[in-house]
Amino acid sequence: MPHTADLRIEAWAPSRDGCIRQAVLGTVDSFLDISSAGPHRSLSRRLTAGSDDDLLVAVLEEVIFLLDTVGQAPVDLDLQGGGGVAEVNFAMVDARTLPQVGAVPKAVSLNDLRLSHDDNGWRCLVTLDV
Amino acid sequence: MKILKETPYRFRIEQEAAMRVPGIVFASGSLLPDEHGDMALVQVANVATLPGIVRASYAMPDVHWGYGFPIGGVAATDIDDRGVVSPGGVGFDISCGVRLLVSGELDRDRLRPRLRAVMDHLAAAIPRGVGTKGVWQLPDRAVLHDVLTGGARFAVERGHGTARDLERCEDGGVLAGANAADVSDRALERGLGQIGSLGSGNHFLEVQAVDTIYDASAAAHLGLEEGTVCVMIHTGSRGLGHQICTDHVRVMGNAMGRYGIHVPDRQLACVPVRSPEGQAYLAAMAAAANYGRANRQLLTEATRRVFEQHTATSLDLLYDVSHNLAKIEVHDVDGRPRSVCVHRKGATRSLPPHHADLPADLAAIGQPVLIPGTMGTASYVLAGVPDNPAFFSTAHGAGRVQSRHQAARRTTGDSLRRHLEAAGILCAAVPRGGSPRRNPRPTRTSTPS
Repeated sequence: MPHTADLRIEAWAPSRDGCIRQAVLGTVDSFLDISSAGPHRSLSRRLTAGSDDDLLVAVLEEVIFLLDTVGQAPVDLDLQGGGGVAEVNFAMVDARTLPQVGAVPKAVSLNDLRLSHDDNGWRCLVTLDV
Repeated sequence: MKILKETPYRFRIEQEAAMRVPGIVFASGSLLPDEHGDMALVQVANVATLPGIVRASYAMPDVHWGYGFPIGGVAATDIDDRGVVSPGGVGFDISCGVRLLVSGELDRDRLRPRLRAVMDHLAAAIPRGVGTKGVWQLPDRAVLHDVLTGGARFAVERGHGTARDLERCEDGGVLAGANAADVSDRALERGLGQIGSLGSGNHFLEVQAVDTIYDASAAAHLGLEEGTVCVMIHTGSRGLGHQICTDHVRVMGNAMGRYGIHVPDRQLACVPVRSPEGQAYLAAMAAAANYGRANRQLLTEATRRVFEQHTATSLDLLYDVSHNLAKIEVHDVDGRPRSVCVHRKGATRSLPPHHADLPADLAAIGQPVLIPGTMGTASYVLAGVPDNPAFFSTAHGAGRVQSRHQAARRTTGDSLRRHLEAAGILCAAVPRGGSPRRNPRPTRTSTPS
């Protein structure tokens, strides 16, 4: 999505967790070519959030944290849970060995953050600092 | 929104609704952001609603759409009149800034035969991109704490530079008031391995040469003449600074209701400067600022090593200044001196000649201000002037009219590289998608105006 400052991601899916998954995959696709990625490594994280949009932020922030600290990026993920706690299982690859095709996200902005649903499913809009 | 043209280069956004002061934009008509495609002017008006804001919500000529604050925004709040501090007014990349190194012995013609070797070795010596480790591997968190409180001064004390470097750094290379205890575990974890690395996005290291001189006396004072080789470094506090901003926006978002504060945008979360949350942010922000200054100091050392090995010349620091920071400063407002918290987000402090905070050898010309151009265009060295109404602040870069991804869709890495090489610019790395991020390259510097 156009934004002169940084990266704006729009994603949609039938379910909330599917929508968050698509937002993560879109984020990774914005800066990494994963077509030649090697074997995946499974990584689980328990995240807490007070609302749906805060859960979206928490998952994306975890992806950014893992990039910075272990140099890995998710090529897929599965979310399970409710009531403010989610178990996230990431399929991770070594990002340092893959072609970089864009600027790397470093933070999630709360500016004009949206995650909502209607009869057609869930849709989110989030801005990332790169 | 009603915008009045006060002069050919100054526009006024009329104070209305919840705005406490007007907005003032320093720009020509053609530089003024498009109201329909760019939210920057709405953000200037939103900033004008912050509690305690004085004089105006200012926008510099390179203002563009940020989140919460515009990029290129300046706002000062009176800390003795419930004035607030907002992490969004500093930005995620705390103390992101620019430093310029100058060779007193090397000019463009002498560099030319060695340029390819210098570029190749800089490309190898300067860590950048996803998941890279910095050139300074800190042994443990205790040393990281020293960096957070000591900044570039600590790096120099450890042998990574000279005492003269510190004289040419804003605040002598270390911002007072830092407290590592206000930095989260998560931020420390992100910062431990990254010191001495560029990052990605629009961060860069460029080899430049002086192209045009506008003020011969000031240029001579700064050791610049036509053809002088320079190195410009643009980077900040890496993941650590981003995490500190993230952490404190969250804390303030939860706390500001207690202070009766409501803002039109979550990213504008703020609390009174004198509140516990405000003081904690400023202490953590100072720690990130010191990390950013040490980061640029370590990249300077790595650059000097390449120049010494491949050109047998040294590089002197001309100046190092941040463009994402909040500072408590004293300014005359409505005829009396007040302590204000000056937020500069994508804006550079520009002290006038003889200002008390300038080192003695810069007093005659004012503070150097370093303005990078975009890829393929000149960068500028300016100097601060008196009577600057925006709390002695000016622009920080070239501005932006397209998103990175819009630009990437309109070009490819190969065509971008060909275009730049046709203009005599070597790129050590262009991403495959062709996104216009900045990379090591020779370019032009014009100085000073």
